Amino acid sequence: MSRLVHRLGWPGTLALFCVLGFVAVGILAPWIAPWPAQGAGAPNVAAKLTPPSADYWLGTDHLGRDMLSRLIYATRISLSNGMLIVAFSLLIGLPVGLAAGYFGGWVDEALMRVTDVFLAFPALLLAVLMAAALGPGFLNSVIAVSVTWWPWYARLARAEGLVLRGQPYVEAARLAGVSHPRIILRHILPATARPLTVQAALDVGPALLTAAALSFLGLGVLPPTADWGQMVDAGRKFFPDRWWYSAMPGVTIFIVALSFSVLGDALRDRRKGAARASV
Amino acid sequence: MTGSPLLEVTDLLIRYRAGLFAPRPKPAVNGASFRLERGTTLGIVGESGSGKTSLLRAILRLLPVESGAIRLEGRDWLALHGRALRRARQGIGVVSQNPFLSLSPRLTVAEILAEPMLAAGHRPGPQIRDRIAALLSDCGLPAAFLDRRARELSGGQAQRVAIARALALEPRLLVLDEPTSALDVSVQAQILNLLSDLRERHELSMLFVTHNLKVVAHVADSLLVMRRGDVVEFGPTEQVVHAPAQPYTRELLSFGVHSRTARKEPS
Repeated sequence: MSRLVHRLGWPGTLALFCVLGFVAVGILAPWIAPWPAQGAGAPNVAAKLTPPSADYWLGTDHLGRDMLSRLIYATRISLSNGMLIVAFSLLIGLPVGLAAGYFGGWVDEALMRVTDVFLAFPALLLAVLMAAALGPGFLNSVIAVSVTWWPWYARLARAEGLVLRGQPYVEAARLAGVSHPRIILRHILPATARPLTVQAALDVGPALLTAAALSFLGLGVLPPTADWGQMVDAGRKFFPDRWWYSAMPGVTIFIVALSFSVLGDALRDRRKGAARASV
Repeated sequence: MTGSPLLEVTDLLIRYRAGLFAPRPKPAVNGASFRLERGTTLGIVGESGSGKTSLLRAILRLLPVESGAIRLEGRDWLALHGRALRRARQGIGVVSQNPFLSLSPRLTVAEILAEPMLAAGHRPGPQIRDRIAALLSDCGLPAAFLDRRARELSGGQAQRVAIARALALEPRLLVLDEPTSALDVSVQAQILNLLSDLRERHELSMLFVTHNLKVVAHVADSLLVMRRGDVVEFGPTEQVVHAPAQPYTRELLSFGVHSRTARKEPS
């Protein structure tokens, strides 16, 4: 524990536990939600729009469903949304960028011009267009945001590949007859792991926000499934009289996005362990 | 075949590309010609910017050649491409200046030494580990170093690992690019002694590039002196050192202090 604090600092450690906490909440949703049925979407009209109380800690929505339970269930959707966007983007951007940077020449030109086309559109606009074309739904919103996201990883990976291919140890491997795929797997990829994990951690927050924005526009998951963005949108009609409806999911998004961002910063600045310090 | 030299370079011209509308730059190597006989060592000497490293990189096929020919063991070396080049290049061992840059920071010594062998198609297994340990002891390091990483080694130890890697595939030609320049003087002498030991034991031919004529004079059978891309002198070491034809060579000789005294130190 103290080693963790030493390496990540207090804010980083706190953010790490926040993120892990939300992941746990998502996984354990049916067991920890006070009203599991309502969390999953069953209406409870008798108690609609109740302010926060002993029964409903964070109040209820326009169908009388417990906000806390809804938020807990929405954690599953929103968190996996953010993480899947980053994962999909890495899956496309990393190979494209590494190939461009490592091989250079016309491979680089071709791959990066394609990447530039995607970067030429405003990101959110492109995501909205993609989502509108694909139709609403969880996977579609992930794909829509990933399409606007991967070029950033491609550029990052390209810069890394460009620097690394000139390293004498990479050249030495090439002179020893090691094949290009093997050099990329064994020398280039491991060296890019650190900058890319940092970027990925920093990006889960914004990715989740973008996904929430799509949901807010009605292009995310469909009711009765909930995610945070969609909940903010649903509460908008009752704002500010029933402030808790929009505020609770809004505050949740804020906390999660902040946690990922602080965690990313901490990972970037993390101190090396004692064993490594003796260079 | 025994009559042909191991490496023969004829009228080699190397020019770096400038921008589209920029005037054509002066060639980095301007018509270099030399022969390296089997089992001998050629020292390539010159100040920085003299073109010696460009010449070396062209011989390793890391730089394109504008004109001229390179023949390795009688074969047209510049005609090889792709997989054939990759295979053929395994017959050349390379040691570069700074071992901490040329050894991967992430791999252990054993992994670094295994890499060329795996690339050459050896099956991973205990034989490889034995072979690696033998290589390492050949280069004066105990097997205990196998599980260390480059950053845990001293400069001299790391350079020994780099030399062991260069020898992993039993190359016919060993190319050394300033192999002692990043090391301090006493370690330089040890590495030079190791190289002459290895040369005798493995009947290696060596290309030894350095800016320090005094260092290479001990190791080399013949010397090639370069200046601003031109070969200004090429001949047997004795002749070049004792009767330099060019004032530039004399100037080079006056630098680089008494490394002859360091030669007797144990390795």
